[in-house]
Amino acid sequence: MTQKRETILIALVVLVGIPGVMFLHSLRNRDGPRTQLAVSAEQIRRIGAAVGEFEKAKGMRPWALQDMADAGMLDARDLYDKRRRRPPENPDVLYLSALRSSDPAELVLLCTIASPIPDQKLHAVYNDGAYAALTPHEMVMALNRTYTYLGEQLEQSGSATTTEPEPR
Amino acid sequence: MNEANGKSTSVRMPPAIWIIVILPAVALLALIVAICLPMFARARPIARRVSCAANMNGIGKALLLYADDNAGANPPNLAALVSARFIGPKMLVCPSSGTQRATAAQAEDIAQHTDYVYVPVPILAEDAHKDMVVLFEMPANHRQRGLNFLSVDLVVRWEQNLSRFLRRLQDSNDYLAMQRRRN
Repeated sequence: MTQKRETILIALVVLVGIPGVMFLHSLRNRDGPRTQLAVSAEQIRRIGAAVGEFEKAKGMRPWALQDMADAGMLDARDLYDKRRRRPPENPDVLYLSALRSSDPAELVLLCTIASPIPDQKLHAVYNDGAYAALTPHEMVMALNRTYTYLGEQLEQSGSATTTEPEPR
Repeated sequence: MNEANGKSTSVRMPPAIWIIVILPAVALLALIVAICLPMFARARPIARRVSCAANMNGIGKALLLYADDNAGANPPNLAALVSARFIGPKMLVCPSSGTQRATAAQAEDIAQHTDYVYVPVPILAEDAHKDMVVLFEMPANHRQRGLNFLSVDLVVRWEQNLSRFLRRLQDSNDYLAMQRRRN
């Protein structure tokens, strides 16, 4: 190979190769969406069904989701993402324990706020037990309706207290 | 110039000079640019996250003003804060979400154009723990890398561990449940 070709080759490697590798490396490490742990649609449906069963058996809704697992009405593994190696301290699903079965059906009883796959819809179970897949924006509106209703109920009954809350 | 022959000759730099001096300099410059590019790419999402936190901070102050004006009562929803002119509709939208802000100060319009969920935990109640969640957003706003939330002590925090955040939010829900059961 002549000296001129060697020079050109070295120039190409230096001028194109090194920045190209660095650029590709930066693309690989971009701030892409992150996967999060959350229960699946089937799991949240089972949890919703178990809430109904618990209420029929005990006459009231459970204080915490773990109560249903303790009562044998729900598999404890349904409370968290199957990809977890160990059960977490708290479930991977949100439970609006303040709702009653007499409250409006369109309020959210159970929901996830993140999805295992980015850009996937979130899962919700309404107060009447119906399941829905919602976009994050729809979930915000549904939760705001639910919390607005709860706030109105508390205001009407005058819930301002000064006693210490009961431990969980 | 070769004076003996009367002809002029130009001095040419040998190729080795190019390789030794100029190419490494250009390579170093290209390396610096390649390192800085990801930093610039991350700056915008971080700026939007900070702007979102500033929105929540403003909403927190508005909640306090509303409680002061209404004998400690909570607003029924975030639209009440807009109606009372404590905040504008723009503050209810996360800059990262792409949601358009509301055009009218009506509850229905604002409900369609908000990215934040308001949890009616009374911020002035003595039995409300300061770690309870009052306002939060969906992690999807920031590509599920975390979320901003406002707690009862009116401090906005960034949380990347969603499991830890869910525990706080569940505490807020259980507080509301306990209040409702007492009545």
